[in-house]
Amino acid sequence: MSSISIKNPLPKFSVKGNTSPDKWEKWKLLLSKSKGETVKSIKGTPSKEIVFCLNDTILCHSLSPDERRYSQAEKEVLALVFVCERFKLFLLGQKYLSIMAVGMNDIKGYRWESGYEKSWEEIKENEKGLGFSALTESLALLEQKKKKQNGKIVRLGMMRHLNIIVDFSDAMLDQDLKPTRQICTLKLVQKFIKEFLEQNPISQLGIIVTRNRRAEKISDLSGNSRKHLQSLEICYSSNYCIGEPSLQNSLELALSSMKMLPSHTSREILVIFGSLNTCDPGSIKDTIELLKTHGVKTSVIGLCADVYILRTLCNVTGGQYHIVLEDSHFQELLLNYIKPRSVSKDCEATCVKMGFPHHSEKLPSFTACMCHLDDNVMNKVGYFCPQCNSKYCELPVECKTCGITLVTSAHLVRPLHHLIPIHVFKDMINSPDNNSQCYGCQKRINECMEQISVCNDCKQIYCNDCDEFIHNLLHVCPGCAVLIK
Amino acid sequence: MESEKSLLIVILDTSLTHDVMCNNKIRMSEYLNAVTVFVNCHVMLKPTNKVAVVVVDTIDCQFVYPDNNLSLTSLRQTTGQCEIFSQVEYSLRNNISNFISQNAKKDILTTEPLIGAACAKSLCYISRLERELEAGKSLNSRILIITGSDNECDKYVRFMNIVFTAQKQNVIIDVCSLEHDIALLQQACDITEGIFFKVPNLSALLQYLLWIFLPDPGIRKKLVVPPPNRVDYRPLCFCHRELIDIGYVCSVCLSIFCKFTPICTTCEVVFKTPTPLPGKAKKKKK
Ligand SMILES: [Zn+2]
Ligand SMILES: [Zn+2]
Ligand SMILES: [Zn+2]
Ligand SMILES: [Zn+2]
Ligand SMILES: [Zn+2]
Ligand SMILES: [Zn+2]
Repeated sequence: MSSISIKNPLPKFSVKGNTSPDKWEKWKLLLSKSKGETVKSIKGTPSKEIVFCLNDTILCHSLSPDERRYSQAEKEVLALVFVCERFKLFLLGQKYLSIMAVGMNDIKGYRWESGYEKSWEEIKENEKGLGFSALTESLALLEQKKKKQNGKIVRLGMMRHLNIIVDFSDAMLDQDLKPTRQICTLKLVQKFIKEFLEQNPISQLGIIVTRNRRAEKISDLSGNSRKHLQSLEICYSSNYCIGEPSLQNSLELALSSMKMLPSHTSREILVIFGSLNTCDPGSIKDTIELLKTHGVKTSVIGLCADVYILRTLCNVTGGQYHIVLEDSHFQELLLNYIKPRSVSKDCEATCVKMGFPHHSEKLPSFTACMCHLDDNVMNKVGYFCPQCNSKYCELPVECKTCGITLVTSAHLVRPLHHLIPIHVFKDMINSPDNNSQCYGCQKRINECMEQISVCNDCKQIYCNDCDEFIHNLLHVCPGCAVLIK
Repeated sequence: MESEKSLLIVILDTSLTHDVMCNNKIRMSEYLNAVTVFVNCHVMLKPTNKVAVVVVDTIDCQFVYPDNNLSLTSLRQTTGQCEIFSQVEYSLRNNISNFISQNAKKDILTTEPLIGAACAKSLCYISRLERELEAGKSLNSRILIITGSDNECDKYVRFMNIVFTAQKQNVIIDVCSLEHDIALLQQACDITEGIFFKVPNLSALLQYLLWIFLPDPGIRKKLVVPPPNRVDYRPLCFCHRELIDIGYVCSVCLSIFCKFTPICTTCEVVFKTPTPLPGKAKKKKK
């Protein structure tokens, strides 16, 4: 214990445990001396306890029945309060604590460690409201900033094929996500689909649902988001969720639609799983091996506790496994899958033939479009396939007659900011007598006392809000746009 | 209803082409007067209306109103004029003439006004006002670009990023072109559901501005305004810079070529020989 002296500036805590809210079992609070040191975990600790480990001393705190019903965030804070009381002597005089929440098996998940020193202050400020979500939000931001710095991805697989498998078993009626897991998932998946197809214009997406021990494909692989969103509408009814899910059936159904795809496209499966069990006809291990041989990357977002077989599935096929903390975390996890994945240099690429339709010169008479043939709708405007002259009222679409993909140039431009990410701004300390203003929003710099950023290329000064806005949404530095190369 | 604020940002291009100026179609002073009157009209419509003006030319772009450095003492209150009108008029007059004389000394490197940069700045400004909004209030923002330039003014990708951001933020982009049909700006209007309008008679600029661009987008639906343009979304191929109907798209960097090439010239990836389309592959399976 003597290792923590007053000289040691920042002792680091890591809150470690199963991150699922209701199956919450134990938290390990580990105090490690420095950044590089590995976290010591204690195996076989009894559940319903908080276990702390300060170097070699182990402290336990049994949770009272009331405390067991705490939400996950409250438990986390409880753990922190407890540790502060116990380790008060060692902590007095320290400026900050750095806290880190890591998932059960993410031991190397030290991603957030640096740049996270002041989070203790954030909790303190929000003590009444227990603003843990603010904390996770800033976590995400930091992570993004990290990613931005890592930037420089040379090649991206723009052509993706993704099957989303959504669990609609009775476990989805649970109300730990508001209003229910089912509704929350549907809302977020709809948002995801729209965004995914916008950012990946030459990719395709399919939806498979699993319930009542069966798997059912409700929407084929295609690039039309309207169709997907329509087919999801039926899932909103309250008695849609029944029985047990079948992981194996749904994985095999997804695989069967992706087996035949050309080798240069990525094959991905995203499973959203709320149940803790699965009802499978055969050995799931065989299916996992099969997925691996076909190069299907499978990722899982779990709504409940950590399930061994799902983790194996992700590890073997090279995907990611995440457990949802709360709905904003859920959304963030989903949005992570939108960005095109970087691919290796020797990956196979191809040239895809595409049509760019335009309105015809002369106004045509009222005709039906190919996409609404059954609805008897006639309209004047539309896009015409340059190859076979079929008419469509919305793009992007795959021509039903000749098979060519029809897009506009705007569709192809939308994801390009992934390829050419703009540089990270340099942080600058603000001096209060600085009389300049933010180059973006014209706010006076001395009004915002926080940090300001400066663009390395055009040397313009930005406030923090603009920095965030420019990097997350705009993807254009206004100052650099003025410079002419 | 009153909880809705309406913000109008006017991006004013002062780099009028030779053609406009020399043939005396419109004088600079008339042009600026028309815009000043238009801006004041917007402020006059409702007390909650807000306005901002950005001037842009081939060298720089700058906010002229609101002006952080505007000292109130320099404002002489003219009799009978509302305070905000004299502020707008004073800042426009003063800052635009400063801006023009400042840039006249610099070397001109390009002939195109930096409209993209001005839009990016305006979006930053809009996002700041949205952050500073009191709870329960909403802000309807639109950007009006008044320009006399003649062709594609910016890098396509960069400009489209800005347009998509505007679309996401529900910002409408309107364009009032003094001379030309500009394909890039037409696309911007189409994507953000704004109006692209080419003024047929420059001496009546103010009338056109008041008729088409003064009403809020919600009211526009009830008015008779020019029908939307048919926007051409065909791309230029990367190899010959020609409009194409059918092209080949690199699956790594999305470059567009008019013919099948074995190597992508942009990202240098080697293509496989043409494979069946994913659509065909799907059909085979069935
Ligand atoms: Zn066709
Ligand atoms: Zn149609
Ligand atoms: Zn700013
Ligand atoms: Zn810059
Ligand atoms: Zn060409
Ligand atoms: Zn390429």
